[in-house]
Amino acid sequence: MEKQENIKKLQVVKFEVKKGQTFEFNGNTKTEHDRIKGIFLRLSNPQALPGATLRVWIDDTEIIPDDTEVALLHHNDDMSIKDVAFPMDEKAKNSPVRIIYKDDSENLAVSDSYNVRVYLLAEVEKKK
Amino acid sequence: MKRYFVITKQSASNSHINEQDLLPASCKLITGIAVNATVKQESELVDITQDMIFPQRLISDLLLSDGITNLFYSYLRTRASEAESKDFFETDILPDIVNILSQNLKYTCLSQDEQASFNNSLAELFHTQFADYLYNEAGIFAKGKNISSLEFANLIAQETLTFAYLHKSDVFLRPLKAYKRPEPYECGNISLLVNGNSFLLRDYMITANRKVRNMSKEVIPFHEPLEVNSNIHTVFKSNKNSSDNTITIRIYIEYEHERITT
Repeated sequence: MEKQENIKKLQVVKFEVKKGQTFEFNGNTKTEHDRIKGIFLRLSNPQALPGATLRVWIDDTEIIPDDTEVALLHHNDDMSIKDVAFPMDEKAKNSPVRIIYKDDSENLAVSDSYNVRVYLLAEVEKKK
Repeated sequence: MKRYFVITKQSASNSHINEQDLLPASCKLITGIAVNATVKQESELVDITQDMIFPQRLISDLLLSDGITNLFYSYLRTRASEAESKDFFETDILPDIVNILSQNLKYTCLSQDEQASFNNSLAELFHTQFADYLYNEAGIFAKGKNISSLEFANLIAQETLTFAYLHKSDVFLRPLKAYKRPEPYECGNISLLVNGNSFLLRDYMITANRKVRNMSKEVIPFHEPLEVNSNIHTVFKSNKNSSDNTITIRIYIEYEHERITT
């Protein structure tokens, strides 16, 4: 049997974080996506990276443990998405997504708030 | 599937660390480890300037607009003497060129005040230096004698663009304030032991505040099977370089996670 290539999709979660804030995001993956294969982030102000940490659950499974530095999952312009994405394999299909983002930039970032975008690499299984 | 476990340790005012932590029960095989240290320091704000993109197409489009091509170029180039022509250029043509440029060169990244100061510096540059450049360096008066008005308008447009480009590093920049990134420095050695006497890392030098890359590049690969209920023993020896700062050391343990299928 030939191996079927699944269709790659993307889901974006965007939220605004204020200096020193801990932000909790609760949402769901898209119903039409079958699996979540990876995750990465981008900050609108990368100067806020040092010290920022996050914790992520997908489908009630802790994927990224508490106190993980955001810098390890952050996408820079000089990297391909494939290299930076944190690999995982969890069920999508409307499963819960919970992200706790802790900022630690009181003495670092320029502006008072910045946007965080979390990208979920999703896959849709090809129907025969 | 790979899972991660994070251990966070803090060393305040150069203190050493000698602690043990229980690893999660599902952690039976360590496949990699990453260590990162950050030191929170008050960082100073410095003034920097950032180059903005030179709007070549925009300027050439503006110079081709009717407002500029309909200026009295024919009158300008048929003046009897160079000084007279230059006077006419400065009083009648230059203000229009400056107006059109400063009203239309808008940068969305600039605030209102910054845009105003950009317009001012652009206008000042053209008012003080552009006529001299046209007449002395571009030799507009001599070149203008034998060409048609349209060609002459094009020549001035071309020279305006060249002039703007030559001064792009004086005008096309944006003042910014940036926080200075703390300098990386070596803050001490770390040793990690599992299973009682097996070293994962031994006297591994940690550099604080270094630039971290993404997880897959940071992880040092290992293949270390663990006993049940294993501890990880962390020993950090500070090299006394940190003065009063608190170092936060995070140890990321990558392990193979067995999915329980029911």
